[in-house]
Amino acid sequence: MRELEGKVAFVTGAASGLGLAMARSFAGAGMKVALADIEEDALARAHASFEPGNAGTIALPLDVTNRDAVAEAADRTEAAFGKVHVVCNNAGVATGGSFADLAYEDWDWVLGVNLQGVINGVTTFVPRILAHGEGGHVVNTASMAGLLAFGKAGIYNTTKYAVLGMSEAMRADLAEQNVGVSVLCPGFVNTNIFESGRNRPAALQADSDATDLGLDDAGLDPEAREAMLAGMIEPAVVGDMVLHGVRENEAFIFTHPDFEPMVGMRHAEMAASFERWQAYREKHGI
Amino acid sequence: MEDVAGKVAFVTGAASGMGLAMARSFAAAGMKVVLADVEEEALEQARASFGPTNADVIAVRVDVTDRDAMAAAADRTEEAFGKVHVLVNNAGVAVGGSIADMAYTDWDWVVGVNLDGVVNGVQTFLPRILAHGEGGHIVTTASLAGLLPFEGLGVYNATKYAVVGMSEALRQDLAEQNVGVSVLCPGLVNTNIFDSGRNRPTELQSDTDTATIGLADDADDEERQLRIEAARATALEPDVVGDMVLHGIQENEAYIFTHPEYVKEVTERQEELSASFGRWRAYREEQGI
Repeated sequence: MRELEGKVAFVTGAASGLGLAMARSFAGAGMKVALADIEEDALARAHASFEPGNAGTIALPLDVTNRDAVAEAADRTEAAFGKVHVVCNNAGVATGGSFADLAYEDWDWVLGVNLQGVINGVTTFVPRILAHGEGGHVVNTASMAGLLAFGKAGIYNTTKYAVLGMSEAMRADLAEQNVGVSVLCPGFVNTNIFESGRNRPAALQADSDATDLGLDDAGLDPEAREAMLAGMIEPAVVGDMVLHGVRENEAFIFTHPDFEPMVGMRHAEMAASFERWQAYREKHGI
Repeated sequence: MEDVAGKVAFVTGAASGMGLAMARSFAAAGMKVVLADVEEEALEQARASFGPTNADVIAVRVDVTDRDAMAAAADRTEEAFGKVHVLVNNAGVAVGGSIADMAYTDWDWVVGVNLDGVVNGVQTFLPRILAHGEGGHIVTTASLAGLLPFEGLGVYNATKYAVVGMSEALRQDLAEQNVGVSVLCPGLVNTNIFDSGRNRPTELQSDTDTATIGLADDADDEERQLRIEAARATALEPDVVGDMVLHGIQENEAYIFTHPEYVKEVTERQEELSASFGRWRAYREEQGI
């Protein structure tokens, strides 16, 4: 989507971190922006941080796991700005721990926000974007953890891989209908994701040993850990990359190109596995 | 897990298709097998096909989306056979159609069986496998659609990518605990997946056109027809896949790739990822980041 000025963006998880940065980059490009977030205080502060009297932004308290609330937020955005062109399903949380230590509540919370939240955003907004016929764009926030697995990040991996698969398929579905799709796959960004437990609903608290996902859960050796920390970038940089990704209709927004060798290693392992199975089939005459 | 004789396997979606084929391969290797399925009649037939006096195969009717029922099925398995060593999360369903046409009920049904069903399997059985200390293996059925996107399969892709990610993480997590993990990524296999709507619960029916996934035989698009024919030509029988799964468990293969020719498409996707990494590297350099 090349022409963004005057277009309308709806961003979840917009009170802080990546979402707020995207909203700033979009507003900087002349877009109208609906900031949606579950954290009401932070949302009010985020909204106030845009120029006072700025008629180009609205703030909408929203729990992305609540389907009726997402529909209502879409209605309110349309009431304020007429239509929605760009939707960023960005709200995300994380928990870490060994699989054996996870409770159903851990799964329900993280799958609820990171996957169901995206499903709810897509199901709510895609038909509305298609209806106005002016084209649009969907950005789903995944992670490098959508392409690379880490032993203690199993739930997070599950949700982020899911968002990758959904986004890639959607891109093919919507390609002819003037709606682009990008999946954002950041590495380490300076956000609140490691404290996402602050917004965890009481009903989904667990007495498991799962914790807020931390860098220590990635099972990295000290050198890799240092490299990861050294590669950390600020959200503002990512916001501009997302804007660029929307304009260029990039399928993937890779904020941390240094991960390419790790992704290549995973592929090399798969390619070696394909070869072993080829040999198995030949040996068994299949 | 090289030595499988006498070990116990719990297989979901075992009344037909790949699940039944795995159960047969496991039984032939001397394993005790629990056939679990939501489809009662087919389950009874499947159980009967193992022979009337075969005391090492039992059938348990279970809906994998029902957490209490999964726990009860695990209890019954332990009552019958003492413990469980191999868990196969195989039950799966599919819908087809553009993301734009998907109703919440489409998502809820497919995510419920293909993803939550697997979560429930791991949550229920993993602590029991770890508890007996004899080691074990967890196989989850994904698909090539867990590695490659397909237009019109967004819901299915979401769930299958999800279980690939889960399995890769699980494998790392359990590596030191004598529990192996494999993810099965088949291409086209001659199963009932295209009729999975037969088991769709009433409350999750959808009035979209997405009730079942098909190979779109009526598609007039020439290229699409070619792709369908190419896929058909690669179709495998389930029994071949059952033996491959057994082999995958014995060798602790991370991936069970029944259709090795797809390495081409998987490599093409990797090349797209690499090209994209390259463009973003150039962007960062240009912006001085």
